[in-house]
Parts: sequence; structure tokens; C-alpha cells
Amino acid sequence: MSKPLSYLGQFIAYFLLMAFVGYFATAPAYTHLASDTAVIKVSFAHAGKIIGECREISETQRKRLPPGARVPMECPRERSNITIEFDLDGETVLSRVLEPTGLSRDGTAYMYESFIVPAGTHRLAMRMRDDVRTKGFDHEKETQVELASGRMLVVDFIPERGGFVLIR
Amino acid sequence: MATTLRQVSQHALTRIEDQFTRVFGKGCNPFFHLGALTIYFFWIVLISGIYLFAFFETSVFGAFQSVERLTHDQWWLGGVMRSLHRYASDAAVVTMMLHLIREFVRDRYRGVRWYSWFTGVPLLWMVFLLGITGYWLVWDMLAQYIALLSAEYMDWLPIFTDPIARNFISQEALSDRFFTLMGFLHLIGIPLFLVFGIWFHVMRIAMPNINPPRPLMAGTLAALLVLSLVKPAVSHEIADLAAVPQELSLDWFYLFIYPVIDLIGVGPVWLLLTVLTFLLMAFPWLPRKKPEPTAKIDLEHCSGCTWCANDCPYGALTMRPRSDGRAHKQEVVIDPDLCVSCGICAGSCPSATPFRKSEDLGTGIEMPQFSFRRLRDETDAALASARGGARVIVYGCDHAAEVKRLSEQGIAAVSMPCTGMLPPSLIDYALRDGRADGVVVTGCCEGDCQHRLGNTWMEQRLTGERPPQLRGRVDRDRLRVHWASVTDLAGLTQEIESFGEALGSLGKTSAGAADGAPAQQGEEART
Repeated sequence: MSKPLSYLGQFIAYFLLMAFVGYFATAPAYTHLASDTAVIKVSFAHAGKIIGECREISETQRKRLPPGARVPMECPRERSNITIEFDLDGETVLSRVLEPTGLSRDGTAYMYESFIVPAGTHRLAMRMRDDVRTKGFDHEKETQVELASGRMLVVDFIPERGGFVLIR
Repeated sequence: MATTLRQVSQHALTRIEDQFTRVFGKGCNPFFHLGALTIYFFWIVLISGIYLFAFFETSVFGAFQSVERLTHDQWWLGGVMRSLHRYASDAAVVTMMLHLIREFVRDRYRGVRWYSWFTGVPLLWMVFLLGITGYWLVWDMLAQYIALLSAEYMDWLPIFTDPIARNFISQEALSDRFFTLMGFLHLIGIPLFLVFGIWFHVMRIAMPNINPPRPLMAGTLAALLVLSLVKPAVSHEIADLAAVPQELSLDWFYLFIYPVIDLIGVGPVWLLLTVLTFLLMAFPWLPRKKPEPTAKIDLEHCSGCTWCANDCPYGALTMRPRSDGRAHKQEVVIDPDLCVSCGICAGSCPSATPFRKSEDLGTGIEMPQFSFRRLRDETDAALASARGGARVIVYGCDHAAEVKRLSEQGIAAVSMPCTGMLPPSLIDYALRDGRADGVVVTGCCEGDCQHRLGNTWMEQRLTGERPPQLRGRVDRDRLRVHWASVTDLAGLTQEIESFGEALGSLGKTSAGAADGAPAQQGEEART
């Protein structure tokens, strides 16, 4: 092959490689979330209440314990399961019982769930039970939200801020 | 079925490669340097990355702003470096995947060569992880999408109690420490593993080709620079955790898996990737290649010259102190686990000479399935059956143009497992005493030897750059070297015809035409 033809061929080869690299480096565009939709995320980290009361240890029982462990009260470590329910526009879309983490079931329970919803107004209802000693739900909240297209709403649970919190 | 498929794909690949050989020349065909090109692209990525890191801020708010400043305020260098960083990484994926496909199609991943294939699979993971963590660092909407989906992907494994994805539920939840972690992974952690991975990948082969030819380096760098100027890499909008990325300009080379996660879910993608990884790693044994007899050493004929050990492309031969009490200092030892049965060592052995007095023609090292004696006998038989004008004998290999088919045209031809198996003394032998008028040496294309270095060593032996050398008395006008791929038999035939015409003007060789007695070439070479 003559030199000019060879150079032309090389130019075409490099051009094709770069066109391939340049195109697929950004295209075709990918639609992760359709327009006119939004996302609601229910996510929290919450430790349920301890399952029982502390009880006093008698003198006899205390003496049986090692000297470093002779505390006046005995408290259970295990925490309550957390029951969570989430209604979206009157329909229950999430109903789950979360177990405490840890070998002694004394850790925090975690929740992370997403829902793709049409943009617009939505009625939300959230209920949580975090204490086995009570009946019914310990925390409840109902609210109406307006979600624009492409926005995310996080439903978190922060006891210090009064329970269910909406983060936009 | 599998063999037919492989043959069809091999022919298709060779046809494409032949076109590239015509355009780039045999030495610079990019298909013959795919692994080296991948490493070269990572050099570009490394150098551009070091420059970018000098200006990068590893914090939630600083990351995006610092990349923007580089891209726009310093577009003439920082912007170009960023684009080079991205496009060289993308080009590396292209060459890496082509390298993988090519080695598979060429059947260079089974048998003894399983190791390079096996250790190459984790490199795929490392490269993709490196790319993904790089995109993460920009902290734009694309980075947010990757971060969130990656976190959800990892959370699927039952090893984390606190979901990683909770770090991305709100701006307040996000910490600068995440960027420090990502920065560490992208800049030090994964690159370090990658370097070690590449080292493991090539450690079983001698003289690995890790640098592409300079024209290819210059050409690809220039092309990447032009692409960087024509289409500079830019960011999406700054990440906003109160928003969900909707339409994204994905880098499909690195991020193709994320739409798959969106489509089929995290669990099936874990399953898919795990199965695919193990399947790829198991390829060398699906099915296992039938092992061929490895080279055999005969210490009686071994002078411990080291030539075979120097020539073995797989490091299967080593030297050790003599164990048989003979006067020579060393002897060669073979590691059968590394020997691919190419026979290149047999071609380099100085005792492989047909001019020896002993009839059995035993050599220091040879292939049991294709002994030197057989090579000489096949030479004699081929020449005896040759017909036509100039008597030409063609030495070729089993992986390139099928020289055996030339015998249908009356041309003497001998095919070996590798052209590197041919001792130069046999060329001398063929041209002496009127046996042949000319010799053609052919085999795999330059830079693309099935056994890595057979054709290179052969050429160097003929030009006197490497022992055993072709003796000076051999008339070079009666020797032609023409490397021809499996699809280039027609080109080879043409070359032989033109060679035959040229030989016509030289006249016939005759008994004793090459001056000097039929000396012990091997012995001479040994001195």
C-alpha cells in the first residue's frame, strides 16, 4: 500500500476509534427517572424500646455474681421489633416488621425503601410501633405533600424531632 | 461445533487484522498490541490524573467546584487533562475487551496459558471499579446516581447493618469523609491493586510486550488530544440530594451496569456478575485443552549454552549447574507446567544441525512429537516430491498460511508447530548440494506469533542478531522471509512465484555450490 493511502487509512482508523469512544462516553442518553415522576424514600435508623423493665436484684442473687458485676438492677438488653406501615394515597404500600440488629437483638433497626410516584399531590400516612409493651402504633403522622417532577422526599424517623420527619 | 465456530471467528478476525496490517504495517498493527495499548492508556490516565488531583478538593462542596474550575477556567490544560483522563480510560476499556476477545478467539487462554487468562479476569473488575470511583469524585448528578445505586448494590449483601445508601438521603447526612474514602480508593487503593494485578497477569511470560510501538503511541495520543479538544469532558449539574437524576449522559464503557440494575434489580445483577466472573475464570477448562508432549532434554547433546532458555517465550526453561559430571558448566531444566510445546527451543539448539555425522540426529532439546530428525526427513521428502522450475522449499507454521496446500502446486513445503522451531542450519542444508534453489520462511505475522516470539527470533537468527545465526556462506538472494496470516495464502503464493522468477536469474544451485565443506554448523555456532 502506498504511503499516502496508508496514512489515509490510519487517519480513518483513528477517527473511527475516537468517534466510537467519544460517542459512547456520553451517549445515548439514559433516562433513569421518567419526567413527571418523583421519588419517596422511607428510610430511618431507629432502636426499638427495651422489651422489659429493669428489676432489682436481691442481695442473695447479687452475692452469686462476680464482684465486678454486682449491680443493684438487672435490665434486659433486647429491643422491640419495629413495625412500620406507610400509606400512599390511602393504600398501604409498605408494611414491615424490622428486627433489631446484633446477636443480642439490642441494636438499631434500619429501613430503606423507595417508591416512584407521579409528580403532584400525595396523601401520606406513616405508622410505627417500637415498643412491644404497648398496643397499637406508638407514632403516627398523616400529611399531604406536593412533589414536583424529579424531586425526592425522604420520610425519616428522628425521635428528637418528634418522630416522623419529612426531608425535601 | 465449538471448533468450527472458533475457526470461523478466527478467519473473520484475521481478515479484519489483515486490513489493519495493510494500513498500519505489520509492526504497528494495533490488534497485535492490544494489551500493551491498554497499559499505555493507563499511563495517560495516571499522568493526567496526577495533574487533576493537584487541583481537586476532596469535600462535598469542594469536589464539584474544583472540577468545574479545572474544566472551564483552565480549559486549555486542566480541561484537556480531564478529557484525556476520561477518554484514555474509555479507550482502555475498548482495547482491554478486544484483547480478551482476541485471546479467546485465537485459543491462547487454555492449557499452559490458563494463568494469564485467569489472572486477567480480576483486572476487569479493578478497571471498572477504578472508572466508577472516578466518576463518583466529580459529585455531579451522574456521580449522585452512581453513588446511590452503588450503595444500594452493596447494601444488598448481608454484611452491612447500617445501609450505606442512608449516607445519601440528604445533604446533611453526607460527609466529607466519603470523598476522602473515594479519593483514597480511586487514587491509591485500586490503582495499586491494578499494578500488582498486571504484574501477576504477565509474570508467567518472558519479555512481555507492555509498550506499544512508538507510532501507535503517538497516533493514539494525538487522536485522544483531538477528541479532548473537539468534545471536552464536562460535568452534569451539581449533585442535589433533594432531587433524583432523570436524564443522564452515561459513560457506557464504565457505567453500563447501572441501567441493568435499574432494569432487573440488585439481586439478579449480583447473580449475573458473579456467574459471569466465575464462568470467565473457568473458561480455560471448558473444555480443557488436550496437553501436548512438552520439550524433552537430552543432556548427552546439551552443552549448557543457554540459547534455548533465552528464547523460550514462556520462561519454561532455566539453567542449573551440571548434574551429569560433564565438562560443561550448566544444563537446561524444563518446567513442564510452563511449556506450551511450541518448539522454539528446538530451533535455538546449536546441536540441531543436519550436518552432524551421527545418524539419529539427537539434539539437546527437542519436541517428542516433531523431532529434528523428522524435520530433516520432511525437508528431504518435500524436496523430492517438488516439481516445476525453480525448486523452492517453504518452511511455515501450523498457525499461519497453510503451507501444506502449496504442495498441490508442486512446491515443497514443511509445516511446524512454530517457525521458531526451524534451526537456521536446515536452511543451509536445503540450499546445499543442489537440494533446493531457494528457501522461503513464513509464519504468523510480525508481532502476532501464536507462540509470542517465534517469528521475531527466527528473523533475528537470519539477520545474525541472535544465535544460532544463519551461516555467512548462505546466499541471501536464495532466501526470502514472508510472514503471512492464515488468510494470506494467495499473497504467499504470489511471493513464492516472484521469488521463483528471481531465482531463475541466479541459476541453479548444484552439488557443492555453496563453498566450503559441509561443516559442523552447530559446533561452529557453539564456539
